[in-house]
Amino acid sequence: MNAAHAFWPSIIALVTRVAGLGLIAFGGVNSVLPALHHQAVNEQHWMTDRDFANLFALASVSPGPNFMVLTLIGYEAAGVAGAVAATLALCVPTAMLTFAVVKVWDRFKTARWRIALQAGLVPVCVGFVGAAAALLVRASDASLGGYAITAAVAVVGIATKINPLWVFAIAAVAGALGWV
Amino acid sequence: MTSPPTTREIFFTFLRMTLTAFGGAIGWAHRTVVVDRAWLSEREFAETLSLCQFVPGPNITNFAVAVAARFRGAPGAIAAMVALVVPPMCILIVVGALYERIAGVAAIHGALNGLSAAAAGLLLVMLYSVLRTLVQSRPAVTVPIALASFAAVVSGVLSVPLALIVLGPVSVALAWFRRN
Repeated sequence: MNAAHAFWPSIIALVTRVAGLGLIAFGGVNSVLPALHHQAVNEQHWMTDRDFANLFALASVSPGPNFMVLTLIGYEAAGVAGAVAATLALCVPTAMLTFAVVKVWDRFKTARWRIALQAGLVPVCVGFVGAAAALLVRASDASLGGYAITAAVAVVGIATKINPLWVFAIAAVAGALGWV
Repeated sequence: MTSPPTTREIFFTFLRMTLTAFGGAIGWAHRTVVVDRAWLSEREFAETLSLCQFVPGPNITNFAVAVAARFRGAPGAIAAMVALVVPPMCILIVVGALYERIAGVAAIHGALNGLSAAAAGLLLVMLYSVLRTLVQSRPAVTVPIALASFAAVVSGVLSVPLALIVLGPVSVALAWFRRN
């Protein structure tokens, strides 16, 4: 990424593609990850397959939401401006949509269709949470140490009032020592 | 809850949350908003999250907007978004710049593995909480639906958006006729 003439076209390509994917990401950004991978690796050639996997892992464990893998993808595609553009293109249009939906939603608080829609959506969403947890366990736990850490966080979070961040700190050290 | 949080409180709560949110933000959002701050009950959390999954885009930014907008309108929503997105974006730009150099370091790779195993545990905590809420209201209907959406997504039979399209109407219809 050195030629000045390639800067704006690449930013525009990034913003339109990312914003488009964001607006069809029903259920969350994970639902468009395969499409995002296809765009970044095969269509736009922003990075290799291996880079994509590494960036995804980095974003998953860095502080902040996991969808911010888009920041890293944007950075690879078009530097700092690309990082900012990709991040905002993903979450700002959908945040504005949510803002509007919440207004409507709360206005019809007592409407029967709204109550049925809410009651119907919750169990489907709980299934998604379960699926996300299962996929994350499968992706991140390759050893006994990994399962032990996952279980420790779960037990601490469910049964105690201890901040799980302590277990995270231990997990990072254990990982750095090669035990995970 | 006596009085709704101020815009300032919203900003600093989401800022603190995002900076501790290793391995994905939803588990931490649950811990912060329900356990630590008691801004939402378990039931309100599940309802708000399901609404945010219904709207396209990142669940966590949609969630932040939905929660903050109800307390403090547009200023609250903007404060929550800025606090949630901007700091990790800056961190990830630095990570992106260092990526080539740190990708090969074994200790960092190991620490990342440890952190992602811990993150999987946090998602299990959240799953436990939302399941408990689900079991309290009409489990004979809601639990099979949650299991169906879980199985469809984990097995790869349906993507998240497709599962929403297929199971959502069934679940909403069941809730609707129950109301009648």
